Order: sequence, then structure tokens, then C-alpha cells
Amino acid sequence: MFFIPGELISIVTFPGIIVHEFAHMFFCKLRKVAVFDACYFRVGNPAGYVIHENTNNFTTTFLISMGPFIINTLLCLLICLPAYMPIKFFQIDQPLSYFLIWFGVSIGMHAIPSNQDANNVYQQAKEKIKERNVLAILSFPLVGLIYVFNILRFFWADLLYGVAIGIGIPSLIFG
Amino acid sequence: MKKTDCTICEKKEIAVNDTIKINSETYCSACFETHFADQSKLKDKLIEKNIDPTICSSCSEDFGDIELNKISIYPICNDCEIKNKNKTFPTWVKAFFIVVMIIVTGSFFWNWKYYQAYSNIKKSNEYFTKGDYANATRLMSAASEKIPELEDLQTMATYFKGIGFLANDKSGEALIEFNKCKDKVPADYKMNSLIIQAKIGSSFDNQDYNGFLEASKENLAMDSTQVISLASVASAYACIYADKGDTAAKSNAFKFIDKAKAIDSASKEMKEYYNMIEYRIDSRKIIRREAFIKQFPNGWIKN
Repeated sequence: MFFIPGELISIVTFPGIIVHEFAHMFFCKLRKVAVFDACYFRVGNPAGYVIHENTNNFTTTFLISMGPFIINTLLCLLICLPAYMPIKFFQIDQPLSYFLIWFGVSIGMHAIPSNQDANNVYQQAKEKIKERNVLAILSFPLVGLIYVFNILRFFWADLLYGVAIGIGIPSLIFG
Repeated sequence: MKKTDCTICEKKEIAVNDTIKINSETYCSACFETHFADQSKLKDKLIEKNIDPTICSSCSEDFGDIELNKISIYPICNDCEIKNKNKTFPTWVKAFFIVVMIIVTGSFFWNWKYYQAYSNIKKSNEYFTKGDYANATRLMSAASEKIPELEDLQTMATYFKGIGFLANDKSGEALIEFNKCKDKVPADYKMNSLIIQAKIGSSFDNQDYNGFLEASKENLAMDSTQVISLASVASAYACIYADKGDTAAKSNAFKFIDKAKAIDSASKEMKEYYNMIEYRIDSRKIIRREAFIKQFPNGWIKN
């Protein structure tokens, strides 16, 4: 296992960070949640953030926190899909295709919400589960997976996720 | 602006925003720094930031005695509330997303030909497996036209075309196609065997019976266990005899028929083939198999 500074990874995969924060912001706008401050990319820790008002609506919290998972994953697949066929099936080396794979996987790498996002969901889910809220029930395993995944980032789980979505899914579809 | 007193130093009239509440006691900044220089002392204490409800948390404007509306726990003036609620994406983020959308859409259009070619190849292979060589060739050619830079597709289209010609008894045309792609297809495509088959058919069609014999012998040399290979040599000798009256060719024809019969003397197909060769030798007439079957639907019997 080799260690690369997080800032360097952020720079190389900057499209993913922008899309990640965009997704938080997008769902804030969609659910009419006030946003106090937003940073879409910077060299530092965290590499981006969106500070928004708290809401008691669990669906809203869930969507804002899980927004990057939905949007980054979808975009990763959409961007990598066109590049998959020329590279993998026809073995045609085109710079455009490799650019798309980098772009897509960079976005996919940042799909998993942060522990802070998971905490936001967890805190409200604990309350909402008493009301037998289905989304709250479903969010528990998801939050658990996010915590585990964030530990596994040290072992490049984020890169593996990006590759699995960007290359794994097209290869499952097209063989 | 609202003011409060420090519970510790009893300093009066301090701005609320400059104080912090720890375990319900109000600390001014100076007292806080004095008492909690070591942050570990804050452990297990309830810490609350005092927020002045008359000062906007966003623009810091003082509204005197007017208490502002709150977003979450923060007092926000009307202007900032509208600004925060309507906060939108910065221009560069919008531009970034427009570029992303252009890339996604553009790459789909740009690479659509690969997906069309992929679909054509899949269908072409299905047709080929079913023996529909015309459609297999058409779709493989279409795939090749989509990606002209990929020579393998052109090769496959040529190969399928050759197979189609061979299946339709157009051996001469098949031979031309096979010769175009013979050095480009993988070994397991049995190109040598196909070329020999095409040569056999082509030389027969051109009444080049020595060529027919030569190609049949080549075929036999590749696999001497196949009854059809032996019968093909017998057929070629029969043609030479029928054409030139060469008696050595006649005896060779019978010799190879006997060899073939030693392997398969029972199947309907081979019996028909032997019967046609024997007719050819007897009548010295060379007709195609289809014509023979049409002329003698119940087989030829020597009278």
C-alpha cells in the first residue's frame, strides 16, 4: 500500500470534489434549504464544503447528505460509458476516451458521502426510526457502509468504487 | 445590540456576541481565555455560544433592539435571508457543469458509432451462427463502415462474405474473398481448409479438372480420415476420365471410392455422392450434384 497526500489526490481528482459539493448544494436548492457558505474546491482539508441550515425534515437531510452518492455515481457512469466501448471492446486508443475515463472515475471517487454527512443522517434517523420511517430504517445500513467505506479510503476504496462504477458496470452490461 | 454581564469578572454591558455560556455561566472573552487556556478543562462541560438576536449572523449588521428572524439558530436580517435562500451556484461552477454536460452529450454522440458497430457485430455473429451469411455479411460490413480504422472488422466482413459465397456454390468469388483476408484471420478460423474448399469448387466450375484434383488432394493431405475428402479425390479423377478418357484416372476414381466406402458406405448422403461419381464414370457426363439429384431423384442405376 502506498501513501499519496490527500491534497495531491484532491488536485488530481478535482472534478469529483466540485461535483460532490455541487450535489449537496443542488439538493439544498431543491429542498429550499438556506445555504450560508459553500466552497466547491480548494487545496486543503476539507477540499470543499457546503454549510446549510439544519432541517427537521428527514427526507431533506437524507437527500442533501446522500446527494453526492446519487449525482457522482450517475455522472461517473454516464461519462465512462461512451469511453468504455472504444477502449475495452475495440481496443482503440483515443486520448478522448482516456480523458473521459479519468474524468468519470474522478467523479465516481468522490461519490461516497463524508462521515459528517453520515452523522447528519444518523442523528435524525435515530429519532425518525421511532416513527417507523422507512427511509430512516433503510439509512442505517447505508450509514454503516459509509463509515466502513471511509475507513477503507486508506486502502483506495474510493478509487475502487470509481473504477467499479465507471468500468465495472459497463463491462457487466456489454461483457 | 443586546448586552449582558460576565458572571465571572462581573464586567457589565458586554456585547452578547462576545460572550460564551459554559454550564449556564456567562464568560466574557478575557475570562474565557483565562479560565480555559487549557482546553481539556472544557471536557464534559455544556458549551453554548451566545448569539445576539439583533445582529445579523451573515452581514453582522446591528439592528438595535429589533430581534431578527432565525435560520436554524442564527439571526438573519431580511436581505441576508433572501440572499441565503436564493444563494445560487457561482458562475464558474455553472460553467463547469455546462462543460460536463457538453462532454457527456458530446461523448455519447461521438462514440455512438462504436455502440452501433457493437450492436451490428453481435447481430452479425448471431446470423452467422444461424447460417444466414447474407445478413451476417451485411451487418459486419455496416460495422466496418462505422469504424473504418479497425481493419479487423473489414477482415471479418470479407471472411463472412467468402463463407456466404461458398455456401451458395460461388466458389470462385469465395476464393477471391478468402485470399483477401487469409493472412489476417486467427488460426482457428480454418482459413486453409476454406481456401482449399473454394479452390475445389472454383476449379470444378471452371472445368479445370486437374486443378480440382490437385485441390482435392491438398484437402485429403490435411485430413485423410474424412470420407468426403476421399470422395472428393474420387470425384476429381472421375471428372478427368469423363473429360479426357484417361483410364488411369478411371481406376484411381474407383480406388478412392473404395477407400471412402471403407469409412462410410451406409449414409444416404455418401451413397448419393458415390452414385453420382459412378454415373460420371459410366456416362462420361459431368453434371453438378444438384442437377444429378434432379435428374435421378431415386438414384442412378446402371442398365
